[in-house]
Amino acid sequence: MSASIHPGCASLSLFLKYYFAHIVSLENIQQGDFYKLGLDGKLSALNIAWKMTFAGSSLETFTPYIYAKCTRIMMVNEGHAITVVV
Amino acid sequence: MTAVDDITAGAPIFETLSASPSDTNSRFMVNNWLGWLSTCSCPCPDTNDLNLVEIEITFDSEKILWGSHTATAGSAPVSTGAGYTLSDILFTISKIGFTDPLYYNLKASKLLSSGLSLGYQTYVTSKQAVFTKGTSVNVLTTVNSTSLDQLICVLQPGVPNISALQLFGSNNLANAIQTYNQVAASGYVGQSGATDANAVTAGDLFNQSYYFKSDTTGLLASSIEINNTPLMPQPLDDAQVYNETLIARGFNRKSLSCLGKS
Repeated sequence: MSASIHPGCASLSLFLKYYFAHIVSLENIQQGDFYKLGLDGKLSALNIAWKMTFAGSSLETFTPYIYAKCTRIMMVNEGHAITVVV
Repeated sequence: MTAVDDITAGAPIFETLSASPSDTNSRFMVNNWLGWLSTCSCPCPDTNDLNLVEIEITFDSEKILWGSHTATAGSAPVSTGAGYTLSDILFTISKIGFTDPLYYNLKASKLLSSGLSLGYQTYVTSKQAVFTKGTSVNVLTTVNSTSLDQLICVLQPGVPNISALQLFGSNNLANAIQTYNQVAASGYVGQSGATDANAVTAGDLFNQSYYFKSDTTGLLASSIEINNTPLMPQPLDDAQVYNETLIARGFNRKSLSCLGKS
Protein backbone atom coordinates (compact mmCIF):
# COMPACT_ATOMS: atom_id res chain seq x y z
CA MET A 1 0.00 0.00 0.00
CA SER A 2 3.00 2.29 0.06
CA ALA A 3 2.48 3.32 -3.57
CA SER A 4 -0.54 5.24 -2.47
CA ILE A 5 -1.93 8.72 -2.40
CA HIS A 6 -0.23 9.56 0.89
CA PRO A 7 2.09 7.61 3.22
CA GLY A 8 -0.70 7.70 5.82
CA CYS A 9 -2.86 5.60 3.51
CA ALA A 10 -1.47 2.45 5.08
CA SER A 11 -4.33 0.06 4.45
CA LEU A 12 -7.50 -0.36 2.45
CA SER A 13 -9.56 0.50 5.52
CA LEU A 14 -7.77 3.84 5.81
CA PHE A 15 -8.22 4.36 2.07
CA LEU A 16 -11.97 3.94 2.52
CA LYS A 17 -12.12 6.04 5.68
CA TYR A 18 -10.09 9.07 4.67
CA TYR A 19 -8.65 9.01 1.19
CA PHE A 20 -11.34 7.47 -0.99
CA ALA A 21 -11.19 8.48 -4.62
CA HIS A 22 -12.56 6.58 -7.58
CA ILE A 23 -10.55 7.87 -10.52
CA VAL A 24 -10.89 6.54 -14.03
CA SER A 25 -8.81 7.66 -16.96
CA LEU A 26 -10.41 7.95 -20.39
CA GLU A 27 -7.26 8.91 -22.25
CA ASN A 28 -3.99 7.31 -23.11
CA ILE A 29 -1.97 7.61 -19.93
CA GLN A 30 1.21 9.35 -20.95
CA GLN A 31 3.43 12.08 -19.72
CA GLY A 32 5.35 14.72 -21.57
CA ASP A 33 3.92 15.87 -24.86
CA PHE A 34 0.46 17.40 -25.06
CA TYR A 35 -2.24 15.36 -26.75
CA LYS A 36 -6.00 15.61 -26.97
CA LEU A 37 -7.00 12.03 -26.42
CA GLY A 38 -10.05 12.02 -24.17
CA LEU A 39 -13.59 10.83 -24.79
CA ASP A 40 -15.38 12.98 -27.40
CA GLY A 41 -18.99 13.76 -26.62
CA LYS A 42 -19.65 14.43 -30.33
CA LEU A 43 -21.51 17.69 -29.60
CA SER A 44 -23.76 15.87 -27.13
CA ALA A 45 -23.73 15.94 -23.36
CA LEU A 46 -21.99 13.10 -21.57
CA ASN A 47 -24.29 11.76 -18.87
CA ILE A 48 -22.20 10.45 -16.00
CA ALA A 49 -23.58 8.19 -13.29
CA TRP A 50 -21.60 7.18 -10.20
CA LYS A 51 -23.22 4.31 -8.36
CA MET A 52 -22.18 3.21 -4.89
CA THR A 53 -23.39 0.32 -2.80
CA PHE A 54 -22.88 0.23 0.96
CA ALA A 55 -23.14 -2.64 3.39
CA GLY A 56 -26.00 -0.96 5.21
CA SER A 57 -27.77 2.30 5.87
CA SER A 58 -26.55 4.77 8.46
CA LEU A 59 -27.24 8.30 9.58
CA GLU A 60 -23.92 9.47 8.20
CA THR A 61 -24.19 12.05 5.44
CA PHE A 62 -21.81 13.02 2.68
CA THR A 63 -21.55 15.32 -0.28
CA PRO A 64 -20.28 13.69 -3.48
CA TYR A 65 -18.05 15.60 -5.86
CA ILE A 66 -17.33 14.62 -9.44
CA TYR A 67 -14.41 16.37 -11.12
CA ALA A 68 -14.30 16.00 -14.89
CA LYS A 69 -10.84 16.67 -16.26
CA CYS A 70 -11.23 17.94 -19.82
CA THR A 71 -8.89 19.14 -22.54
CA ARG A 72 -9.82 22.43 -24.15
CA ILE A 73 -8.33 24.51 -26.91
CA MET A 74 -7.90 28.27 -26.65
CA MET A 75 -7.81 29.90 -30.07
CA VAL A 76 -5.99 33.23 -30.17
CA ASN A 77 -6.38 35.41 -33.22
CA GLU A 78 -5.24 38.86 -34.18
CA GLY A 79 -6.61 41.71 -32.11
CA HIS A 80 -6.83 39.72 -28.88
CA ALA A 81 -9.75 37.73 -30.26
CA ILE A 82 -9.96 34.67 -28.05
CA THR A 83 -12.33 31.72 -28.28
CA VAL A 84 -12.34 28.48 -26.33
CA VAL A 85 -13.23 25.17 -27.98
CA VAL A 86 -14.97 23.10 -25.33
CA MET B 1 0.55 24.03 -1.05
CA THR B 2 3.61 24.09 1.16
CA ALA B 3 3.57 25.30 4.74
CA VAL B 4 6.64 26.92 6.21
CA ASP B 5 7.34 27.25 9.91
CA ASP B 6 6.69 30.34 11.93
CA ILE B 7 10.06 32.01 11.96
CA THR B 8 9.18 35.32 13.52
CA ALA B 9 9.95 34.18 17.06
CA GLY B 10 13.07 32.32 16.09
CA ALA B 11 11.44 29.02 16.97
CA PRO B 12 11.04 26.89 13.85
CA ILE B 13 8.03 24.94 15.10
CA PHE B 14 4.86 24.24 13.18
CA GLU B 15 2.61 22.65 15.76
CA THR B 16 -1.09 22.10 15.75
CA LEU B 17 -1.42 19.92 18.79
CA SER B 18 -0.04 21.82 21.72
CA ALA B 19 -1.98 24.08 24.02
CA SER B 20 -0.55 27.08 22.23
CA PRO B 21 -0.52 26.13 18.59
CA SER B 22 1.61 28.02 16.16
CA ASP B 23 -1.27 29.12 14.00
CA THR B 24 -0.13 32.61 13.18
CA ASN B 25 2.65 33.93 11.01
CA SER B 26 2.63 30.74 8.99
CA ARG B 27 3.89 31.12 5.48
CA PHE B 28 2.35 29.28 2.56
CA MET B 29 3.31 28.97 -1.04
CA VAL B 30 1.15 27.71 -3.88
CA ASN B 31 3.55 26.09 -6.30
CA ASN B 32 1.38 23.45 -7.90
CA TRP B 33 -1.24 25.00 -10.16
CA LEU B 34 -3.92 23.17 -12.04
CA GLY B 35 -5.57 24.17 -15.28
CA TRP B 36 -4.30 26.63 -17.86
CA LEU B 37 -1.38 27.93 -15.81
CA SER B 38 0.34 24.55 -15.53
CA THR B 39 -0.98 22.50 -18.45
CA CYS B 40 -0.88 24.99 -21.33
CA SER B 41 0.58 23.24 -24.35
CA CYS B 42 2.81 26.25 -24.94
CA PRO B 43 5.31 26.52 -22.08
CA CYS B 44 5.69 30.27 -22.46
CA PRO B 45 2.53 31.86 -23.92
CA ASP B 46 2.94 35.49 -24.89
CA THR B 47 0.55 37.49 -22.71
CA ASN B 48 0.75 40.36 -25.21
CA ASP B 49 -1.48 38.24 -27.45
CA LEU B 50 -4.03 37.68 -24.69
CA ASN B 51 -4.48 41.25 -23.53
CA LEU B 52 -5.06 41.64 -19.77
CA VAL B 53 -4.71 38.34 -17.90
CA GLU B 54 -6.55 38.12 -14.60
CA ILE B 55 -5.97 35.35 -12.10
CA GLU B 56 -8.90 34.93 -9.75
CA ILE B 57 -8.52 32.75 -6.69
CA THR B 58 -11.47 31.79 -4.52
CA PHE B 59 -10.74 30.59 -1.01
CA ASP B 60 -12.99 28.21 0.84
CA SER B 61 -14.83 28.89 4.07
CA GLU B 62 -13.44 28.57 7.58
CA LYS B 63 -14.67 24.96 7.62
CA ILE B 64 -11.32 23.87 6.19
CA LEU B 65 -9.70 24.66 9.54
CA TRP B 66 -9.14 22.30 12.43
CA GLY B 67 -9.29 23.21 16.07
CA SER B 68 -6.91 22.58 18.92
CA HIS B 69 -7.96 20.30 21.75
CA THR B 70 -10.02 21.72 24.57
CA ALA B 71 -9.57 21.58 28.32
CA THR B 72 -11.68 18.42 28.32
CA ALA B 73 -10.07 15.68 26.30
CA GLY B 74 -12.41 14.31 23.69
CA SER B 75 -14.77 17.27 23.50
CA ALA B 76 -15.23 19.24 20.33
CA PRO B 77 -12.98 22.25 19.75
CA VAL B 78 -14.51 25.64 20.23
CA SER B 79 -14.93 27.06 16.74
CA THR B 80 -17.17 30.06 17.31
CA GLY B 81 -15.85 32.96 15.31
CA ALA B 82 -13.21 30.86 13.61
CA GLY B 83 -11.66 32.33 10.52
CA TYR B 84 -8.45 32.83 8.68
CA THR B 85 -6.76 35.76 7.05
CA LEU B 86 -4.19 35.92 4.32
CA SER B 87 -1.92 38.89 4.18
CA ASP B 88 1.14 39.91 2.24
CA ILE B 89 -0.03 38.03 -0.84
CA LEU B 90 2.39 38.22 -3.73
CA PHE B 91 3.08 36.47 -7.01
CA THR B 92 6.32 35.69 -8.71
CA ILE B 93 6.21 35.02 -12.44
CA SER B 94 9.04 33.87 -14.65
CA LYS B 95 9.34 36.01 -17.75
CA ILE B 96 11.15 34.86 -20.84
CA GLY B 97 12.38 37.20 -23.56
CA PHE B 98 13.89 36.29 -26.89
CA THR B 99 16.58 38.54 -28.31
CA ASP B 100 16.25 36.97 -31.76
CA PRO B 101 13.14 38.38 -33.54
CA LEU B 102 12.57 35.04 -35.29
CA TYR B 103 10.12 33.82 -32.63
CA TYR B 104 8.06 37.01 -32.76
CA ASN B 105 8.00 37.03 -36.53
CA LEU B 106 6.82 33.45 -36.69
CA LYS B 107 4.15 34.11 -34.09
CA ALA B 108 2.92 37.23 -35.88
CA SER B 109 2.64 35.28 -39.11
CA LYS B 110 0.68 32.55 -37.36
CA LEU B 111 -1.64 35.09 -35.71
CA LEU B 112 -2.46 36.69 -39.03
CA SER B 113 -3.23 33.36 -40.69
CA SER B 114 -4.83 30.55 -38.72
CA GLY B 115 -4.31 31.91 -35.24
CA LEU B 116 -2.61 30.34 -32.25
CA SER B 117 -3.93 27.16 -30.70
CA LEU B 118 -3.24 26.69 -27.02
CA GLY B 119 -4.33 23.39 -25.52
CA TYR B 120 -4.88 23.04 -21.80
CA GLN B 121 -6.65 20.89 -19.28
CA THR B 122 -9.29 22.10 -16.90
CA TYR B 123 -11.54 20.60 -14.25
CA VAL B 124 -15.32 20.84 -14.35
CA THR B 125 -16.63 20.42 -10.81
CA SER B 126 -20.00 18.95 -9.99
CA LYS B 127 -20.98 19.29 -6.35
CA GLN B 128 -23.97 17.18 -5.49
CA ALA B 129 -26.62 17.41 -2.80
CA VAL B 130 -26.07 15.90 0.63
CA PHE B 131 -26.74 12.16 0.63
CA THR B 132 -27.36 9.81 3.52
CA LYS B 133 -25.18 6.74 3.40
CA GLY B 134 -27.60 4.09 2.20
CA THR B 135 -27.43 0.69 0.62
CA SER B 136 -27.56 2.26 -2.84
CA VAL B 137 -26.49 5.77 -3.82
CA ASN B 138 -26.68 7.10 -7.37
CA VAL B 139 -24.94 10.35 -8.30
CA LEU B 140 -25.63 11.93 -11.68
CA THR B 141 -24.01 14.77 -13.58
CA THR B 142 -23.59 16.02 -17.14
CA VAL B 143 -20.47 17.26 -18.93
CA ASN B 144 -20.02 18.84 -22.34
CA SER B 145 -16.58 18.19 -23.77
CA THR B 146 -14.82 17.05 -26.89
CA SER B 147 -12.14 15.46 -24.73
CA LEU B 148 -13.15 14.06 -21.35
CA ASP B 149 -9.83 12.86 -19.97
CA GLN B 150 -10.49 11.76 -16.44
CA LEU B 151 -13.24 11.40 -13.89
CA ILE B 152 -12.42 11.92 -10.22
CA CYS B 153 -15.11 10.93 -7.75
CA VAL B 154 -14.66 11.80 -4.08
CA LEU B 155 -16.77 12.54 -1.01
CA GLN B 156 -16.87 15.21 1.65
CA PRO B 157 -18.60 15.06 5.04
CA GLY B 158 -22.20 16.21 4.71
CA VAL B 159 -21.75 18.59 7.67
CA PRO B 160 -18.07 19.57 7.68
CA ASN B 161 -17.89 21.17 11.10
CA ILE B 162 -14.57 22.33 12.46
CA SER B 163 -13.22 19.37 14.33
CA ALA B 164 -9.94 18.22 15.78
CA LEU B 165 -7.09 17.40 13.48
CA GLN B 166 -7.69 13.88 12.22
CA LEU B 167 -4.21 12.78 13.21
CA PHE B 168 -4.17 10.24 16.04
CA GLY B 169 -3.97 11.82 19.47
CA SER B 170 -4.62 15.36 18.32
CA ASN B 171 -7.51 15.72 20.76
CA ASN B 172 -5.98 13.80 23.62
CA LEU B 173 -4.55 16.01 26.32
CA ALA B 174 -2.45 13.24 27.78
CA ASN B 175 -1.03 12.35 24.44
CA ALA B 176 -0.79 15.78 22.89
CA ILE B 177 1.96 17.26 20.81
CA GLN B 178 2.40 14.35 18.47
CA THR B 179 3.46 15.11 14.97
CA TYR B 180 2.68 12.96 11.96
CA ASN B 181 6.16 11.50 11.99
CA GLN B 182 5.83 10.54 15.64
CA VAL B 183 2.51 8.79 15.06
CA ALA B 184 3.79 7.02 11.94
CA ALA B 185 6.98 5.93 13.67
CA SER B 186 5.03 4.39 16.51
CA GLY B 187 3.95 1.53 14.29
CA TYR B 188 0.39 2.75 14.43
CA VAL B 189 -1.85 0.65 12.21
CA GLY B 190 -5.25 2.24 12.69
CA GLN B 191 -7.73 2.52 15.50
CA SER B 192 -11.09 0.88 15.65
CA GLY B 193 -14.31 2.23 17.04
CA ALA B 194 -14.39 5.88 18.15
CA THR B 195 -16.87 7.03 15.54
CA ASP B 196 -16.83 10.48 17.15
CA ALA B 197 -14.07 12.43 15.46
CA ASN B 198 -13.40 14.25 18.73
CA ALA B 199 -13.03 11.14 20.87
CA VAL B 200 -9.77 10.75 22.75
CA THR B 201 -8.90 7.63 20.82
CA ALA B 202 -9.99 9.01 17.45
CA GLY B 203 -7.67 9.70 14.62
CA ASP B 204 -5.41 7.82 12.29
CA LEU B 205 -2.56 8.78 10.04
CA PHE B 206 -4.71 11.33 8.23
CA ASN B 207 -2.87 14.58 8.92
CA GLN B 208 -5.67 16.86 7.77
CA SER B 209 -8.87 18.48 8.90
CA TYR B 210 -12.29 16.83 8.93
CA TYR B 211 -13.33 18.92 5.92
CA PHE B 212 -11.12 16.89 3.58
CA LYS B 213 -12.16 13.46 4.82
CA SER B 214 -13.48 11.31 1.97
CA ASP B 215 -15.20 8.60 3.99
CA THR B 216 -16.76 5.59 2.27
CA THR B 217 -16.47 3.18 5.16
CA GLY B 218 -18.76 0.24 4.46
CA LEU B 219 -18.50 0.57 0.71
CA LEU B 220 -19.24 -2.69 -1.10
CA ALA B 221 -19.02 -1.56 -4.70
CA SER B 222 -18.51 1.50 -6.86
CA SER B 223 -19.15 1.85 -10.57
CA ILE B 224 -19.19 4.64 -13.13
CA GLU B 225 -21.34 4.80 -16.23
CA ILE B 226 -21.20 7.21 -19.16
CA ASN B 227 -24.34 7.44 -21.29
CA ASN B 228 -25.68 4.33 -19.55
CA THR B 229 -22.58 2.34 -20.51
CA PRO B 230 -20.58 0.96 -17.56
CA LEU B 231 -16.84 1.63 -17.81
CA MET B 232 -16.19 -1.75 -16.18
CA PRO B 233 -18.16 -4.94 -16.78
CA GLN B 234 -18.97 -5.23 -13.09
CA PRO B 235 -18.97 -2.87 -10.08
CA LEU B 236 -15.58 -2.62 -8.40
CA ASP B 237 -14.92 -3.49 -4.78
CA ASP B 238 -12.61 -1.45 -2.55
CA ALA B 239 -9.37 -3.09 -3.67
CA GLN B 240 -10.30 -2.79 -7.33
CA VAL B 241 -11.22 0.87 -6.93
CA TYR B 242 -7.87 1.48 -5.27
CA ASN B 243 -6.07 -0.25 -8.12
CA GLU B 244 -8.06 1.67 -10.71
CA THR B 245 -7.17 4.92 -8.99
CA LEU B 246 -3.49 4.03 -8.92
CA ILE B 247 -3.53 3.25 -12.64
CA ALA B 248 -5.30 6.52 -13.46
CA ARG B 249 -2.69 8.46 -11.49
CA GLY B 250 0.15 6.87 -13.43
CA PHE B 251 1.22 4.21 -10.93
CA ASN B 252 0.53 1.34 -13.31
CA ARG B 253 3.25 -1.23 -13.77
CA LYS B 254 5.24 0.13 -10.85
CA SER B 255 6.36 -1.61 -7.72
CA LEU B 256 4.01 -1.22 -4.78
CA SER B 257 6.86 -1.28 -2.31
CA CYS B 258 8.82 1.79 -3.25
CA LEU B 259 6.37 4.69 -3.25
CA GLY B 260 5.77 4.25 -6.93
CA LYS B 261 9.36 4.96 -7.81
CA SER B 262 10.32 1.80 -9.65
